[in-house]
Amino acid sequence: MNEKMTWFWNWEKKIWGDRVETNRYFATLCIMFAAIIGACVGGGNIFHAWFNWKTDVNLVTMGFILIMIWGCNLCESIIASQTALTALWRSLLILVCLSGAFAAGVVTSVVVIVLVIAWLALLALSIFASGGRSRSSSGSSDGVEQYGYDENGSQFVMRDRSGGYAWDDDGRRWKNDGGSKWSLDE
Amino acid sequence: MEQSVSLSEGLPRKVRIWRTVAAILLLVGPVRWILYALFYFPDRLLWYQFDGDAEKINHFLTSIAALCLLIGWGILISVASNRPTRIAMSLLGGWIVLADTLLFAEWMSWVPSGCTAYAGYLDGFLFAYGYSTILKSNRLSLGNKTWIGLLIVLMACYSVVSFYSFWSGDIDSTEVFGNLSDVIFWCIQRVFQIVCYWKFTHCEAFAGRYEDARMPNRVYNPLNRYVVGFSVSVAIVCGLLWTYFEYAAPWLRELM
Repeated sequence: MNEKMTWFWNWEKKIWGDRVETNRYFATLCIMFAAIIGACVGGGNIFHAWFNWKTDVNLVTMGFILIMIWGCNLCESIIASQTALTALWRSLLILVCLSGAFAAGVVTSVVVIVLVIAWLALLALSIFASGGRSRSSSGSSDGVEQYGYDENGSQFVMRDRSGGYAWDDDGRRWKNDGGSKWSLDE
Repeated sequence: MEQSVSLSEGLPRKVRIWRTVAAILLLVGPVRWILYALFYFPDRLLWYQFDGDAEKINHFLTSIAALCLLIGWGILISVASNRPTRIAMSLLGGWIVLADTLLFAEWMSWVPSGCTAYAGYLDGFLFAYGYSTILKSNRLSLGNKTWIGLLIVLMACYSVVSFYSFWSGDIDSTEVFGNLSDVIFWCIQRVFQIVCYWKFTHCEAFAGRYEDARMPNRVYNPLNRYVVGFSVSVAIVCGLLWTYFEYAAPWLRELM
């Protein structure tokens, strides 16, 4: 968990070593927040466009927030770097990471929403299809077919068994005489 | 030339208790802001006593938070480790008293409205200077140094908003401020402030055992990388915001 919260700090330590003395968590959390903002923009606008929900996000505010986040990191870069050049490069790296995280958040949220909706649609289709198949089959709760025989000895499959009665494919009602014995209910 | 008490030597119990009390008092302000912004919580509790007068409730709670800050600041001055820390904290404490007095005078309409806004412009610079003096005059651990540096960064946030509001004058405040995204941003900023205050009050600069030895004048020099960095970043961000609202924002509004 700690590694996940300090990955940017670990990365900049490999690049600049002791030339920067920044906070372990701040830059990483800022980049993750930019990704969340991107997800809110992407997801919110998709829901608004497709379903007319009130989830669209004010893009002007998001731009303002991103500029403020980068500004905070710029200030930290200047006060924590040994040289001006290091501060400049770190600020530019943060800018690239913030922009990339924002864009990744937008794209990921759109992809995830599309995949989730597709999965829900397929699930609904499979439920509908399997529900239709089960109605056209024996219709019994235990899945075992039972048969009734009329006076001519013809065999009929008992469908929709419930309450001691069943129906055959011709729509005639049968009465259960006990166990798996069925007789035509006149 | 930095001097401070190494925390590995162990602190007297009294100092540890005072530091924790000071930290809790300093945290009242940001915690109250978060509760107010997200849940309108403290104000609801007092609603009936004030017959639902929102402005009075807000002033009352702001006064409580300011008083807690002042008391906490006074405690920290008493446990400062050396003279530059005590001087810096006293300077900032005096400024807090002045700013709060101006705020009270504005509520009572004794001074024209907007006076506290002018005070807000000096706020950031003074706090950046105070924190930089503490950073330069104490041998702080790297972790504590970065957290106190973050306090300067957070002051830069407030200063940018103050300066930009004054400079541009035409930000549509309902578009940018007050909506949910903006509130969440400032809540997260307050959460960072809570952690920074905690680290600040528990750092080596407030370990008691006051050392009155004089320090080189460079410790008090305002032209250090902290104050300069603060000023440069505030100027750059203000310029960036002006460009953004002038050119990019109209285009973004068309997209919405």
